[in-house]
Amino acid sequence: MLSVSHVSKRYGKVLANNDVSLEVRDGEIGVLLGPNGAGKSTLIKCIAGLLRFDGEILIDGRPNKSLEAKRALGYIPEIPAVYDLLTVWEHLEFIGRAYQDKDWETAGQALLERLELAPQRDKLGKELSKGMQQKLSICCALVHRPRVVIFDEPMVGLDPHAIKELKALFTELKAQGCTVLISTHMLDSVEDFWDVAHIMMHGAFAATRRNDPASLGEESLESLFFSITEGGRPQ
Amino acid sequence: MTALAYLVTTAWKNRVRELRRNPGKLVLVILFLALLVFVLLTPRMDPVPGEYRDRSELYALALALYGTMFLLTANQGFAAGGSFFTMSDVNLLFVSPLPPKTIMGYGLLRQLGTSLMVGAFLLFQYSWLNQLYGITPLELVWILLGYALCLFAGQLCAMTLYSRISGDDARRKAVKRVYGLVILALAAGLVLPSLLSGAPSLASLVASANAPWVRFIPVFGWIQAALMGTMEGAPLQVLAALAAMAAFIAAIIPFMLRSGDDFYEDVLQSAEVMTTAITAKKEGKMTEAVPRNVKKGRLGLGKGWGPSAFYHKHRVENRRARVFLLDAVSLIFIASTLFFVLIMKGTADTASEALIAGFAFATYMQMFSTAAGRWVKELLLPYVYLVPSPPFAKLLAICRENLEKVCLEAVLLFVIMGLLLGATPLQIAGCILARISFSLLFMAGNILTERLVGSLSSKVLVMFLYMLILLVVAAPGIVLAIVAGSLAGEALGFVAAMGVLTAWNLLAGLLIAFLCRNILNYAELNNK
Repeated sequence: MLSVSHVSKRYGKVLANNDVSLEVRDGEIGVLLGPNGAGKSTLIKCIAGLLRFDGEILIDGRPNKSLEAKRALGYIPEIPAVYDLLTVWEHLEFIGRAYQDKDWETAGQALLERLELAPQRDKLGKELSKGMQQKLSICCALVHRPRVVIFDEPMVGLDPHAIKELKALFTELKAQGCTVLISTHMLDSVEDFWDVAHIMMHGAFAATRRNDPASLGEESLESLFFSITEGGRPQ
Repeated sequence: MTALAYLVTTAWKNRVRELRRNPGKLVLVILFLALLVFVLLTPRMDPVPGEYRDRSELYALALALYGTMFLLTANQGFAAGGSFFTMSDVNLLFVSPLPPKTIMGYGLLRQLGTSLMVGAFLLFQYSWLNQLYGITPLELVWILLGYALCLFAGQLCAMTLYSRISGDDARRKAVKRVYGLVILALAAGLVLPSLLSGAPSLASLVASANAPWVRFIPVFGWIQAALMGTMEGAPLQVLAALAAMAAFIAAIIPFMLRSGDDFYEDVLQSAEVMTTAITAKKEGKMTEAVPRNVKKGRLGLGKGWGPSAFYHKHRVENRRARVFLLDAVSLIFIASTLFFVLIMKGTADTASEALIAGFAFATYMQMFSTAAGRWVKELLLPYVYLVPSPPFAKLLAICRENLEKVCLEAVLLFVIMGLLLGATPLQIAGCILARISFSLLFMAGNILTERLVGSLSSKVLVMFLYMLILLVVAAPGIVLAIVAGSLAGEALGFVAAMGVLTAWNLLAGLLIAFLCRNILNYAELNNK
């Protein structure tokens, strides 16, 4: 489970996140929606433990800076995090060893096959296209089998086939009982499988909806998004 | 106003406006100018009367600098090509109805300006150039102009080479072979006379570099000749050299443009390569000079568990980057230091004096080489922050590869330097230990800088503050070492000074590392 309580983050005078709270339960997919500069990536980085912040973030019930929380977290950054001089398989070996995970090989092999990276197993990071680097980045985040997975704009740079595969992966993670949080500005990429959606504007949540008629009513996620981001309708 | 004139003036106006909006950059520019004024005025406040060293040494140094920069820049023509143009130029100017020659002229002029800016570091060499060779500020400007002209001509050659050979691999290989042979022949022509003289020395190398035939070497030989003519009052030599340069540039541009219809395609390709590199840097993606064709060799890390996986990963990366024991940057630093020591050997009264000068120079160079370790690159990717291990253990693991490197570097550098200067084994050991301790202190200083000011957007300002922090942290040790050295007497003074220096550096370095042990808790130190 992922719990964010009253998180605020400042960059100098700019308030990037203003008293943000959210919760994504086990087996749920949460999405962070919002225009560019809304504060989505900042919040994702706070959850990943990369930024200092005010407030509290719990991953599987433990503070996000604790070693247990780090072990339970998988983070896929917006820019693929790949080492130029390691092969695809060595990336997974490195993560397996660094996370002290004895079963990394079985999980790694399955992931490479799942994301169709197995033919590139012995290719260097620098030899991969941007899309393949993104896939490798996803493998690195998942090889230690995290309970909570956060994606920062994961579709950017992927071809339609890879996007389809990634969507299938989201639902598989959900079926396994993982907590998934996806930050994106591509509404259509998440409309089929989200459980809870947070629309961000100016560093705060302008609306939160659960994917059920009681919460959403007759309105689609898309029309809600545009009514808020273009019309400034407070929710 | 024409479109290009508008582009140039508006870009400059916006740069100035940016300074007003960004106080950090403004402070940096003011500090830069203040430092420049200080460097230019210091020799006048403390003039050194008496004899200066022979200026033929200066001309030899200029030849080495100009030659290296020209050949290295031109060499880019065999790979990415290099370009005067950015992607904005390609996308906006190349498709516009502006005459291609006007666009080329704009690119050439802007490149000349960039080359001048790149050479600004030469201005900070005024102090020692003035002390050793008595050069004036105006003469320094000539040296700088020569440097800029070399870079400019090198870039032009790179573009020409690229546009002529990029589509034909056989031709590329053949031209590269010829290029290598020409460089070998030039090196042989410069070094062989000294070696064959029976007693190779700095003086004979300098004499080779000042031989009349050298002035006929295209580009860097001509520019050295022009510099020499300016300083020695030989206007005909200056005119002849500049005329040769003008003819060279006038001939090479049409040659490049005649290379076919695909000139713009070549420019587009090299601009794309350049833009990708710049974007990757802006995005904080790790980039490093890796060989074009990496030999993977044995696959797998094989070792490492927890934080030590970082160390074993670094070993695999070093092997693939063809870094065997020491990298190219370390070897260049060692070679420059030994060259400096050879010059100092002639001026110092005792071996200890020359050793101290060599040590000081090596330490100055070390400030820059420490900031280039693989551990710094590790801070740019998220893994080091995400891995579930104590931050201090991760910090030690990512620094381990660099620690091994600095120990080896220290032994290699000071054993050779000691043998050159006839130093005692105790003096050499003292230098090695003090060098290693400075490496630790500088690494700690680097960590402290990231901790205190790493989130600043201007990396140049961070570098400047890094230097300042290092000076402040190292200063007490240097003062204590001088005191200990003078108290211990002539026989043991050197060793005592090095001992005190080592002790201080270790103490301060470990204290800083301990205080910053939680640095890997947050990636914010890199503003990402």
